[in-house]
Amino acid sequence: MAVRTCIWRTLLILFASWIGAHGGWTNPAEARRAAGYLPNVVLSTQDGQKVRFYDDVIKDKIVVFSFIYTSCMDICPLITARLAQVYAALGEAAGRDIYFVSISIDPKNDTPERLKRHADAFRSDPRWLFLTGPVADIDHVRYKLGERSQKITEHGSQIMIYNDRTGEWLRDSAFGDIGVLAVNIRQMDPVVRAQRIAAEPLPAPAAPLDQPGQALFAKACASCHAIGKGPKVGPNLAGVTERRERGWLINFIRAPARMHRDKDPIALELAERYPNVRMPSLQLSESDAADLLTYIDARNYALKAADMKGPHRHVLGIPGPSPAKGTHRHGGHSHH
Amino acid sequence: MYLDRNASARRRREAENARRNRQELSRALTLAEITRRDMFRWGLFTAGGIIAFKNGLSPFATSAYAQVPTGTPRSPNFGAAKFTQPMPRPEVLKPIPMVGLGDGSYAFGTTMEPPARKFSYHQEFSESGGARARNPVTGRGPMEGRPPTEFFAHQRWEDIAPKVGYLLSLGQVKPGAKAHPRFPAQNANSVWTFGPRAPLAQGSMTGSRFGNPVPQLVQMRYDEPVLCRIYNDLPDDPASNGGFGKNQISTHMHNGHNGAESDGACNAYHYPGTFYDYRWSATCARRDLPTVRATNVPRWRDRCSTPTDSGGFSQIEGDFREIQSSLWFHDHRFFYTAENVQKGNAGLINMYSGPDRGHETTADGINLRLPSGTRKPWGNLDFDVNLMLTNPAYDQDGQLTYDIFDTDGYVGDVVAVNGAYYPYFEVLPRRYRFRILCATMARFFKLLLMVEKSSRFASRTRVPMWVVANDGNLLVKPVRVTELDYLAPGERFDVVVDFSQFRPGDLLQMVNLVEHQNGRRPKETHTLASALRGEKDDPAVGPVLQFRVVGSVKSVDDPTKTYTLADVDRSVDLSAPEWSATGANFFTSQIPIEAPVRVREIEFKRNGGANPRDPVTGDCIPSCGEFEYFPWAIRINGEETHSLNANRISALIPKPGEVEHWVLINGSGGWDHPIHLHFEEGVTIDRAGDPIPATERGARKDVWRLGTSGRGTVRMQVRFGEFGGAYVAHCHNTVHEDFAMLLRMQVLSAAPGTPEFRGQPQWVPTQTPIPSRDGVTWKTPEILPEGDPRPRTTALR
Repeated sequence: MAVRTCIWRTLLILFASWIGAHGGWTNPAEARRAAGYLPNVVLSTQDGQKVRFYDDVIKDKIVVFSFIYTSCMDICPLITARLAQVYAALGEAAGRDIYFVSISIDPKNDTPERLKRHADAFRSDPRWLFLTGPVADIDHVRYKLGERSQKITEHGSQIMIYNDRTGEWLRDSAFGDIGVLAVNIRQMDPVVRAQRIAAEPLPAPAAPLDQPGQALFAKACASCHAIGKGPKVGPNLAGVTERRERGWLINFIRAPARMHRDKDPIALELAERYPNVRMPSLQLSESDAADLLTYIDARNYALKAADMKGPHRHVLGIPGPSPAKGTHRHGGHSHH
Repeated sequence: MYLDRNASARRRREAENARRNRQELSRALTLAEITRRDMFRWGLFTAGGIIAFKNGLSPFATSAYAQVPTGTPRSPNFGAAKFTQPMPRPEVLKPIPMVGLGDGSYAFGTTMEPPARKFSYHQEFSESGGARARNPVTGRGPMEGRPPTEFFAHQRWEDIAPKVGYLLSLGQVKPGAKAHPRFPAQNANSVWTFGPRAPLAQGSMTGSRFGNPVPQLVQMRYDEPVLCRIYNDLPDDPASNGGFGKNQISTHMHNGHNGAESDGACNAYHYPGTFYDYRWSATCARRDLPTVRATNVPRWRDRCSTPTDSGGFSQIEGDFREIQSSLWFHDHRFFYTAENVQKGNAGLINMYSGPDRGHETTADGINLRLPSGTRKPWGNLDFDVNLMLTNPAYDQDGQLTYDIFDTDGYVGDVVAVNGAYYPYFEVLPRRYRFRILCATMARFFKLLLMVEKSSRFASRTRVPMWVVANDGNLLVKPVRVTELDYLAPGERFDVVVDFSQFRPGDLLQMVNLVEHQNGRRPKETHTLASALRGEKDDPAVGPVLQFRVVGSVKSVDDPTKTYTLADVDRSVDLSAPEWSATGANFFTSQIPIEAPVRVREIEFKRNGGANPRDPVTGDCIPSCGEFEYFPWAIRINGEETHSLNANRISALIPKPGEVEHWVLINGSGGWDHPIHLHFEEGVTIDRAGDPIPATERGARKDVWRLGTSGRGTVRMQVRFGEFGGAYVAHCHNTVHEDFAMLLRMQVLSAAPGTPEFRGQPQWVPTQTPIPSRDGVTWKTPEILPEGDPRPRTTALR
């Protein structure tokens, strides 16, 4: 790893100075157009299909660009997981009016097959493209899109959204609110922008997320783990606090990579069951982990209580990761 | 070509290589790998179709030789030499008296402009189902962008009612605006900036050219609250932006003591056609805490005071040690601050008080008599000069340009002062005060003043400066320097310079020593000799401003007055022994460092550090490589927290008045971060054992450079009070800030039933507004338990 990082650094520094000279442009009125700005290089999709980056991927479309690499052990799986939530929030517009493109910044290691496994882990729509290709081409593309990290681990969580018909660019973060991000993406379409959003009634005073672990679960865990509604990317956590020992859970939440290294049997079994995505190391503290368990416990308790009341009660009645008590507001974003 | 005579052999080889590379460029062009237009833009192609002889710009060269930090060709100068145009003074905005209408609203003088209200006009819009108070330009959404509800109503409106108002436009620049007379005029959408707006002026879907290329200056004084109404006069079409800039704006008053609704929050932005009413409170911090007073200092009550129109002062409530002097305002739209500020969205505020009155002769024992002038009872500007340093770059057509894809922090290759390309400024041989503001995105400066040409002094002789304020906050004593400390984006130094040793005809220069290669951090700090030789890779190194000593100067405060050598300088002489470190005189008194109620450690990371440790065992797993990082981390009293959302509340300030110590840590190796705290200033305690300059130790600041050497750590003391709501602390490298290096603080005001309660609703967390063209919707904030220092068992309600 250290050697690889070193090579990466050297390559990227060389590359940065190499491309730095022709990375810019000077005519702003023209600059925003992707045609002629973004290279029309041939890249591979996760299905091994060759696409021309501008002509096939971008031309006349609204595109959401993100950057990933499949060997990433911490933030990247979370980026894809969160974008998958955004994708779902966009409904039918995703894949029809709005196209997601995740570009590997580790093209040497990320073969189409590996990207396919990554994509499958998040059950993504096949129209969501995961691109790889020759190192120089990928580097050219990501430089031009503002992913200018000189080290692979420096890459950020920012996403770029572009409408090729209007030439408009939008910057946002994969860690913003999912619902808001979906609205911002839809607003890139002038037709959508022209539609009015009905004025909403004035809100009541704030009801903040205040259960320990609730906010953290919403942000760090909910993209991959459900509690009570079947598996998502990773295991369903219903009953997990009864299934596993507390000490084991805390260790696994905090340091999953070490559990794998130490050949913990449960960790290995989980790795076998979910082969394409790893539990990320999110650098959580012990009290972070304890808060998460408290929250998972509370959800499980509510789940059981609901089950006793009726078969469908639990769908609406549990306090979920969303904030409101009683009424379920997706992601707390209330204008839907 | 500009190959230096002293160029090394390596560079000569590179130049030769670049020549060869022209062939490759031609081939690449044939293969359509790059377009002809690209090459034209890079200046490699001339109109005649011949590849220009411009070495080093080949994309195939392996060195950054001849590249400037913009990553593009140098800005053209259209034949403009340095120091060939006078420096413009900021345009002083004329206040409009606010007239109470008896119903809690205030009219802008006798104009028909809609009166200012406690609640946003959005409230009326929402309550009428969108029928009333609509955006007059688009017909959609409310006319005011300030969100509705009591959470965005002006706090303590009855108590702190506006006395003067300003009508401002953030609009397209006026026709004919030039950075230098030889430059082409800027297009309407190349520069978006502030300008005065006529009452009831009509907006337009395609934008209005109300923007003034010269910085706008608001002269405030304590106890005279300001209602600043800022209209968004930008084009409605977001793509009509000349290549960069977002047409949604939020104006942050840096670093005013204001309610969160008037702070210019990054998520409280507003759309074209709307205005936002900011109430700049003009209150002195600790107003609500009468126990926090320096009663051991003679005349401590008189020191907390404001100028009167008769030339005296009147006492106000507050702690005089918190008095501020030099502030500014600028865009804060989330994700777009960098490009919007670069596009011109910034203005200046001078804050006047009894001690810092802007009058240099009134001798009442309270007025510090800093150089300023005498023509007006307060707020004289004749010898009190704002220097706003910006760092633009221009495209080959001379239009302001910016790389929206530069995530390191964009660095321009030109230095402008008050919007002008390397100007000169005429001074009399007397004392001046300069309020220097670094309004760049990523560029740092290190400035000194030297003799360029003089009948009495050798060229390059350094000229001393007395630093009187750091980040606009008076120091306890002046600090004499011959070179200023670094100035990072957002930082200010107020200095006094004595030109009395010079004679008309003498020339001085302000020189920048800091070289940048990119926006991550300064590359190098040059010696004066080296800076004067110039740095081919960074044209902003070297002289940035020239001072010309002259025999007469026209007054800006009084058009009938022309100053001559016969006018005697009676401003304070800071070289006198009573102003020395052991002398009796002082500007203000040191705020003592106390035992804190809590310590927050905030580590700013920009990824890529080598800390791949297992949090439990400290092992490297699977090996000691490098891990991704989150932008920052907070520990409160040793308890860690986690950053996962730009929306969430990262730090809860549970009640007013408690002393906190904040430890700001640079955890990101090669990056430097100037960290900006909104709303309150912190007293700089130390740098964890690293050296700390005299101009910083104990100084109240609102931006701290964390540095890249030593421990990269700053410790400061802060206390919050008077207002509440959601504020932020963030990196003022405005690109880093845009990429989520920003933490949200929730300052809670006193709860009902406590003696401190003043009717503010901010004793519960504020809902997070989500603006849209059709009005604001809401997001419920999240509070991570670690951001909340109260005991876990306390339910938050």
